[in-house]
Amino acid sequence: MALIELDTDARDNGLAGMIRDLISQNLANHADREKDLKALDGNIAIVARDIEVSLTLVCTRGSVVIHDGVRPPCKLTITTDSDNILKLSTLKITGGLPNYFDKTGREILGLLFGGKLKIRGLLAHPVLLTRITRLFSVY
Amino acid sequence: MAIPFPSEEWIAAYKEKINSNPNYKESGANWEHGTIALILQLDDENALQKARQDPILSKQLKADETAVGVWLDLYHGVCKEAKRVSVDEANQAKFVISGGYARWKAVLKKELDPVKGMMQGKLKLKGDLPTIVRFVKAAQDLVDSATMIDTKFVDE
Repeated sequence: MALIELDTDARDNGLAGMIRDLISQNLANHADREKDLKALDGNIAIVARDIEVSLTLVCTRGSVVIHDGVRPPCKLTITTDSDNILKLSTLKITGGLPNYFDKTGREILGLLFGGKLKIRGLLAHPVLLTRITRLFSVY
Repeated sequence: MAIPFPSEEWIAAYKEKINSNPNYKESGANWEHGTIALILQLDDENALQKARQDPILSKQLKADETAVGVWLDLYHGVCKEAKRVSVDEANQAKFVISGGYARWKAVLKKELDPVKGMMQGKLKLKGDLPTIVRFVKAAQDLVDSATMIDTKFVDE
């Protein structure tokens, strides 16, 4: 059973609670994605710059503790506006991979190439990014 | 004439605005995921006092009531029922969004986007988040419907 919890410092961080619920409920709906959680290792930061809210998922192969703020060293740091964070979770998974060819996928690529979505660590940790995208995806 | 928030008259007007909002009709067309309740905590002492003096709200607020629930029965882009409920009843809804008076007032005045408010911890959401994420546009249109009501805020 996967363990996803909020650290006490993240109790007032609404986004942290939403990410915890999103991953937990996605895992309940897609049990096959538990293998992604078990493979996650390292810190992943999410920064919603327009509302000045940030968090870090500290992942240790099967468990995730979500902290308030950015906790380096992070393998991935996803920085974008709050609206786009939810958009990331609407990316469809096709054949086990995020689909960047449908409308949502193209919009996300547009954000990435337009500089409105920044993913530091994208080139160094593409597998990690794919796994966290699968855990976030509501489809 | 402006309708005091959160009176039963305001809730009835809310139902009308939802059902006359073509954007919600479209974005909520596939909604078949159950009821949504809004919980308004009357945590602002000034607003609570003024509400007790308001000719409409004073008749509807119970003496010990410090929160009001708004129950929305939504199905395929239509609001079938909107009614005032207790907090206990509101908590039985499939999805519950709760917040204090000042937060809801900011939402209705379009000063606070509800989704951003949730991310900032200003509003709390209870329910299946993946479902809500798939219907973010519908949620925004629902809120937009509320902002179309000529609302009277009792503390102003």
